[in-house]
Amino acid sequence: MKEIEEANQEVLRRMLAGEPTLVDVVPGVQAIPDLADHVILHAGPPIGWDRMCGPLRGAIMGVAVFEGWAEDLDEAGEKAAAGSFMFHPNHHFGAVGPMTGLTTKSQPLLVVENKAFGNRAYCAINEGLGKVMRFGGNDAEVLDRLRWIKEVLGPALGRAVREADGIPLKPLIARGLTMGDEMHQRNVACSTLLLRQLAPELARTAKSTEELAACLGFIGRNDQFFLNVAMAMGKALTDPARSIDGSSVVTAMSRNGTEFGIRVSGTGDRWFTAPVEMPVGLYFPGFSERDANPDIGDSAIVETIGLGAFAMAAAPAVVGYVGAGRASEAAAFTRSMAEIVVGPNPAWTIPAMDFAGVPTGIDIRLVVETGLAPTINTGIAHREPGVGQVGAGVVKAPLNCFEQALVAFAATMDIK
Amino acid sequence: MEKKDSNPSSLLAAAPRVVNIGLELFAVNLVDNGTEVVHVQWSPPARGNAHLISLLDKLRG
Repeated sequence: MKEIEEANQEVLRRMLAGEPTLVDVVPGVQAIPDLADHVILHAGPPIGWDRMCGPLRGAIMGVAVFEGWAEDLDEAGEKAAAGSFMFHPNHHFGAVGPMTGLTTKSQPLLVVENKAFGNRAYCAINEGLGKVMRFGGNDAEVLDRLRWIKEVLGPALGRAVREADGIPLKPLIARGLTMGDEMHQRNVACSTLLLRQLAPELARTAKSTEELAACLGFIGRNDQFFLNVAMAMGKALTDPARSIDGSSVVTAMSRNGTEFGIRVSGTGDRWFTAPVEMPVGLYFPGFSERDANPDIGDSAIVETIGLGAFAMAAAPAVVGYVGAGRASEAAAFTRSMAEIVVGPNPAWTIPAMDFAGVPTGIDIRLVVETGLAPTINTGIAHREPGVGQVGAGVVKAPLNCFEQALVAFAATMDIK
Repeated sequence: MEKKDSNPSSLLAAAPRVVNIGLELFAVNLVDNGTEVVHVQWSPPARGNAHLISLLDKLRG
């Protein structure tokens, strides 16, 4: 239908026209005034405590102690079960978060402004790999790190980003794609490029040499530091494409560890959900698929804008890391995803594919027709609260979400 | 018109040339036995759901 094709072109135009810039790092409540005491934003579509998976519960117990809403983890769990906390999806507040994705009032949030449309999006700072809150970790080591991020790293990053007058992200991503990143499970290049830009400003605004060294060391040791920046960028790019009448393009894909949810531009902010699938991948020594939790996190926002598994051809090294086959098969993922999108992004190109643009704008009609489910690169969390990351892999979005969305979308066009 | 090979024995004598469409397991089994296979990913549109196919026809029309 001409009306749908035009609406989809408008959505793609908006996604491509965005000018995402990292402009600040501020406490959660400053970015999102609704983040009052006892309000917890989480990854994925809406879910209550009773249906939450182990790592999400573990992270919630940890963050409640971190925020001072409970004395210890046991009390936090009791309060959560008793309904003392209010849970909402990050996506409802312009935010995103990797894995459990918790966002609360005290955590420093990366602020990405889409200069072309004037909207802002937020994401907490990446804590590193292993036992961290986003994977459900919640012991003293995890909470101490969160406190350091709140008291030292967040404010230092905020000063540096403001001193730099913001960091434009589009060119940084373009460069990262030529250096082997796909911006989901491989952010080595972009983390380094960002640090290279921020280091002088961090030095210029540091309160002490020790603080500077600690901040530089923390960012420099974390290959995934840029992931959270990329996610806030993804949210900032997709929000202006929401609620375009007649568009069948996906504006969000997200998982809460129990359900996978998508939003489609033409059906507004309604979620279409289905049980989330188990990632297939590689496990850290001592762990196996028996330990794994089903897929979780808002991080699929990067696939929604054509990165992650959609840009796998740019990052052959990541294919091995996520256990998705041989490096030579990386291009097949990108070619396959190109069959279900509106078009390429000429600003973000892949050298190994003769500089083809990353496939952008997932069309639910093409997903349903072909049966090609969007592929997502992902980390794997332990199924029990408090353990953390146990591996990395790939996961398919459940086709059922797209089939439900198609029926609802058709109804908006008076088609039954 | 292209001349067809009328000698059936050559079909059996030469290595098979296989294009597999749909179920990948058939291709994998042949590859495991040393046969060269071109696999074509294919599945029925909309997983064969008649209602969804009808909606797609109208939405694509």
